[in-house]
Amino acid sequence: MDNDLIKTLIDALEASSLTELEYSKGGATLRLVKWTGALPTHPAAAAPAVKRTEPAAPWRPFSTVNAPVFGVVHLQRSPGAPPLVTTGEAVSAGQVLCMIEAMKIFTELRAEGDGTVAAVLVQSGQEVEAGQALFRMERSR
Amino acid sequence: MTAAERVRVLSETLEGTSIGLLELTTPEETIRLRRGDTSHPPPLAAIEPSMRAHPPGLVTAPCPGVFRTAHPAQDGPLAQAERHVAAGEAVGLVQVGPLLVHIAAPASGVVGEVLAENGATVGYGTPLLRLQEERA
Amino acid sequence: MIDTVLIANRGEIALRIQRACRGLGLRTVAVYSEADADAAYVRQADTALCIGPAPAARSYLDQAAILFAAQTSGAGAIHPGYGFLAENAAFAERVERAGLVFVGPSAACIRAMGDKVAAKRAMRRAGVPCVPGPDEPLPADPAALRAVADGIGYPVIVKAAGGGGGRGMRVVEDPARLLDTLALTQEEARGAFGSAAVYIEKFLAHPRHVEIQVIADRHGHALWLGSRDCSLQRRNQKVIEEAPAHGIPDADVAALGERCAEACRQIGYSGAGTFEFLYDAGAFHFIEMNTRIQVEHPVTEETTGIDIVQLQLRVARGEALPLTQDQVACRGHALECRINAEDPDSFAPSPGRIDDWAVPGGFGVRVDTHAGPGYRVPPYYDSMVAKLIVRGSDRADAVERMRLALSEMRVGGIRTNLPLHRALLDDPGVRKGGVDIHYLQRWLARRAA
Repeated sequence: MDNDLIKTLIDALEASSLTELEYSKGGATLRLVKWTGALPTHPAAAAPAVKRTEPAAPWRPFSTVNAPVFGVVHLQRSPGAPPLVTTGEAVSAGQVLCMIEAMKIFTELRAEGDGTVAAVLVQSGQEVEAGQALFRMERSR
Repeated sequence: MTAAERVRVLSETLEGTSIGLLELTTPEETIRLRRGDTSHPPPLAAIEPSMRAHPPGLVTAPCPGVFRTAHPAQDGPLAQAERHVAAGEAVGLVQVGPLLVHIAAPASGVVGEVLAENGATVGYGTPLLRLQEERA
Repeated sequence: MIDTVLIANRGEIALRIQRACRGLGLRTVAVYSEADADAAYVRQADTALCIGPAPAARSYLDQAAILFAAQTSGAGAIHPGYGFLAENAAFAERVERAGLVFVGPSAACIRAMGDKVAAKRAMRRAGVPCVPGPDEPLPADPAALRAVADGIGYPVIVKAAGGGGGRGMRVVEDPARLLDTLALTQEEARGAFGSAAVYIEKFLAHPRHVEIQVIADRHGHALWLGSRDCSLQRRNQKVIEEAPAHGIPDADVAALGERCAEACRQIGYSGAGTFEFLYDAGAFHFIEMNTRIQVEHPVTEETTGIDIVQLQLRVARGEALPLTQDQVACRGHALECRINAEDPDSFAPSPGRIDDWAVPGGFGVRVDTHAGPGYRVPPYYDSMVAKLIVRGSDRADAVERMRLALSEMRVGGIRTNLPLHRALLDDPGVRKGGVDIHYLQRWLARRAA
């Protein structure tokens, strides 16, 4: 296996979103692994956490915040940034809860009143229908 | 080219890339270059799962190619029902021309039903096999 | 010999390319993201391969996934369409390195035309008229700078070399303000584009956007296929296009077209391309060259009777152009309305499921679309869902045909800009023709007032 071929394979892996490459020919095997840090978690594996936060408590003044349009919900300002709000967090009227992306245009969704985020009902990057509930909110008295 | 020269050329090639491990095995020699944090092994095939909601345990193709249930140069099938695998271990390969892309088990478990045939053309997200939890 | 073409795009242009391939007896490979898995054109391809999740960065812009799909499907050529990777020189290079044919010009041509200064220099050499202004770095000496601006004649415009789309530019009317404005633009350019490089050009107050379609083969032949006018724009997005450009003397267009074809021969261009110009006070000024098929190519197809996408494929597989310049004629007039999934007043995007869909038809009417009843417009990509194209014996005839076609067209379940198009086709200025590139913005401002 000559160095030019190895360079070509390194370029191919580098330019791709893949993380590992293995090449075998004529008794020689080349293995390349990208250093990517932590393994991403599977969205399905993270999902149950959302449900558990819904309290089975007595009646409270709950309301939902719904998606205004069909689009993609973003719970962070940018990938890797901390979430805009988390379960149990107190929010004030006008605070940005999430962003809805449709055709490269981002629309901020803001809290209508003061309250607490009782549950986050969606995952970042998920497609949401117009009218779909995104957050369950508990209003302040 | 001496082994020392080869190592130098390969190290230079890796400089500036995000590749953390290079392993070259030929009938005459074995070269292994690793960079970065050496206390942890580099993650194996950390290929992002499809963004579509899949039932847990469904393993899908990471890229377009041809599904291979076994490595052409190694003995024993990778994608075989009832095979026990550790997280990150290969449960199959997607072949693209001369390239073999590992399909890593997302968790340790037992290979269940193999859904794609050896040699089938697959695209991103094509269901390949099911992985079941290890019975206690 | 190429027998299979991979179409590295989505939406209406993916279907348009698929049809052109079928017409030439070529097999097609559709690559698609998970968001487009249910699109009809994906099912109609000979082979369809999913290349990634919905975000374009991980599917339609994922060069490795597209090359993997080409290798797996046995495609001999890749047609990039428009947008996505169509003007990415590095991608064109990788396609060629993989032993495949890139349906378009060489990577070197794409790269040269992508560099504004290099492109302008190449055009000057070929005798293509450019906006007055130097095509070299500005002098640092204030007196020399003033001399440059005086030579061009005021008003001038200062532009960031790395800018675009209306950003990083300032108009200078008063010579006394030149140096201050230059310094300010340089500072902004440094912050916004990472380079302080700026250049000066003549400022054109009321230009029209006029462009020339060209096609060149790999044997040194190049043809120009007529003019288009795309002046009706909102925020640099074309809304209505037409061919030919109305009210410009044929001899002027022919002289310009010949310069463009000559430029193609000089730079070794092959494939389809468009030279974009600003037309002001009877003179053309080169803006840029697009090294790909364009959204508005059908108006030229309708007036010349030439299938441009088929020609692209034929020259890509090495054929010589099958016609000569004297066989290219422009007959009648064609208009195109881009139908977008957006609010006709606020322009807010409106993706979603189409539950009512009626497209116009009849003599001289063409609809290029991948949508249909039940189609769900995904929220990930651009908002265009259809192109409505009409041909008439002259411009007035085409305008009337477009009005009728717009009245027949119905899209329900999502909002579209159909009401905007209907209003524009009733506007006296649009009906008369020859409006400048700021006309639509002024019209919208008036409507909002």
